[in-house]
Amino acid sequence: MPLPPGLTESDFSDLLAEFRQAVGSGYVYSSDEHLQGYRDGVSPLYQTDQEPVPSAAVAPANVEEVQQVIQIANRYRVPFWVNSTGKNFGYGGPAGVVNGTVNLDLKRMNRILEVNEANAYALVEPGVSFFEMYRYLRERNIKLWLDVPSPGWGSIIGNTIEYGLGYTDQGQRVNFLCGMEVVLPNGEVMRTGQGAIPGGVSWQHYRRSIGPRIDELFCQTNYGVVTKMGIWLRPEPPAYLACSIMTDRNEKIIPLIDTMRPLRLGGIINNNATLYRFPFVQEGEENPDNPGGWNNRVAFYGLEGVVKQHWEHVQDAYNDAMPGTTFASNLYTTPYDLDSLGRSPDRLMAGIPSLGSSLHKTYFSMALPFDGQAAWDLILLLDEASKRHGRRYFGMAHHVETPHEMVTTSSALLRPGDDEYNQTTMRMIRDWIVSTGEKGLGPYRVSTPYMDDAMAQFSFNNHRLLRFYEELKDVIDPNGIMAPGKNGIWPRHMRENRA
Amino acid sequence: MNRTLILRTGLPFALLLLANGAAAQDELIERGRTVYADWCAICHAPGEGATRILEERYQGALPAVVDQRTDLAEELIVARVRTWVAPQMPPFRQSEVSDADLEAVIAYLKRNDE
Ligand SMILES: Cc1cc2nc3c(=O)[nH]c(=O)nc-3n(C[C@H](O)[C@H](O)[C@H](O)COP(=O)(O)OP(=O)(O)OC[C@H]3O[C@@H](n4cnc5c(N)ncnc54)[C@H](O)[C@@H]3O)c2cc1C
Ligand code: HEC
Repeated sequence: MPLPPGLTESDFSDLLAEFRQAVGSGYVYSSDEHLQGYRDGVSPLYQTDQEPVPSAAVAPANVEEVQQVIQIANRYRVPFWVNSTGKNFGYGGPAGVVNGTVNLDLKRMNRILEVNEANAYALVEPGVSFFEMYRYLRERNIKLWLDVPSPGWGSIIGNTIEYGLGYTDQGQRVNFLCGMEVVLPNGEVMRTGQGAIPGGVSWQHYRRSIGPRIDELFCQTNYGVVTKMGIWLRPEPPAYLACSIMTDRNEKIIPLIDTMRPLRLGGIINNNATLYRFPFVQEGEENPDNPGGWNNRVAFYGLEGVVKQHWEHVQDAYNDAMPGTTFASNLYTTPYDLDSLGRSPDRLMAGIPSLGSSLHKTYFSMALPFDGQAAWDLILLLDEASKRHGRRYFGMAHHVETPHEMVTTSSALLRPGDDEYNQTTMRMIRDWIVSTGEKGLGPYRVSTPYMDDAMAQFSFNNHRLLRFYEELKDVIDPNGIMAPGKNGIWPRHMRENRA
Repeated sequence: MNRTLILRTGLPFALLLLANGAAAQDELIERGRTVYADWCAICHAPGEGATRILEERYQGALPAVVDQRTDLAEELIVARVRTWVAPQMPPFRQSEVSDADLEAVIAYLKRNDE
């Protein structure tokens, strides 16, 4: 495995000795075998000479140990990358951007510190996965539901601060984040919002202090290690109605989205209503010119009579705008027997975690106006860009996260070990990023190999936004050790690394 | 790869069995059952993703559910759990499945071996 940048063998062994002193010798890993799980085996760069390979990993058990590890990293000027549960597959997995990074593995910090059923919130550590939280709630018969992304093994903190999304009415989960504890890159601990008051009783209730709310400074950035986070949950609804709105033909995405817009803005549809290409096709499986169609997954939560009435109204709206639309729905009421949902797609909108197994993809996700034509134009644009690389665009999912916007997640397949194929995939994704940028569209989340390309699109006034991010970086992290290159934000001494 | 890192004792599995005695072995298997439930069943339970892939591969020649197998070599389990053998099964870190957990899950998966 590589050495951290700038360190000699003997510095490195001193560094490891100090880490061992801080966290115990069983929790510092530097052998090839122990570091395999910190590499991204589904990255297009895996086992190429461009792969960022970790030099070591350290797994602290508590916030004091995190502080010590960061203080040591500062003394040695060693870059570190954070893993809460390290399952960020599709977006870089557990690996960092810089070769020789030390992974700061927070999985051992997996306590659910508080669940307040009356006020519907939880306070968690970074190692807590969606599966663990779900089991905790069910085992104690706590009648709260949790919003989950499709793979349930990720971290509530890791996924939420990456702006991860779920499928319930709390699908844009970052909006339900309430209060953080952060270890800053100089090793100091800070609490945000009401947590800044010693013994602050409103930490998980009220999201601000006085002055600006800064929690999102720690989202998708490299300004601090989040060690605790409050998350609002939702009380179990008396009824849950899981619905599908289905159309033939791909281009019907235009009326499908435009019909939904007033319903979503008007609060009739409230969940992260996701449109999936249906039947789902992907590269190599089927003709991309297949007329296809869409399955729009919508959920209603509330009183049985009310959810049924909302669903009637929604069906009327689609029948008027788009005759021939087909509908399906399943009603669930209390007392729920959620396990009986089996592997039904209805699980996801009820916040029941599960796990698929198609990890060998690389993702690129865009923000879009809530507009049917914009979604269709994007599909055509990405298909044109893909053709330049001998590929086709197969579309993926459009998530109506809020009443005002959508995000589109696109993925491209990788072939493990086929370097030429994977290099083409990477060139194609860079082309997607640039050609959408030229149309004024920006990414919402990208994988590590394309972070510089993605940030480069936000170039208004000579990249003033990026320069601002980097001015902050230099102040908050003067030695530039935390996650260099994360989302294109580089510390001063490494800016020449920018792709 | 350093094999002694995997089994703390460094002893081959069969020897371990003899040395430990039946009660300790049962305990190890029970612990392995829990590790399997926490970390493996999300993909390997009946109907889940890995089971469907293995069903297709073995077409009934071998059980598709990994914990119903009686032919899994220890080396194969270790390689699967610690390295990227296949892109759909990322290796587990020590902070997730420790060497002791791995030893237990091996005992569990081999509990019905001839
Ligand atoms: C098939 C498939 C489906 C997917 N579906 C979804 C989906 O529905 N919704 C979705 O949102 N994502 C989805 N993803 C993407 C990804 O798998 C998840 O977002 C996953 O939860 C991220 O991994 P994690 O939670 O373990 O986070 P981690 O890997 O632990 O963290 C993610 C990143 O956040 C930063 N970070 C983590 N913890 C901290 C911390 N404590 N302090 C500071 N920074 C930190 C690090 O930069 C890290 O790289 C999918 C991926 C695949 C392959
Ligand atoms: C993310 C899903 C996932 C998880 C979690 C997972 N596996 Fe797997 N596993 C797979 C898949 C998929 C395969 C088949 C992959 C292939 O060979 O193409 C597999 C294959 C295997 C095999 C080889 C079977 C054979 O016939 O070759 C073993 C043994 C195994 N897993 C054990 C485990 C153990 C033990 C755990 C828990 C510690 C575990 N797996 C967790 C997805 C998973």
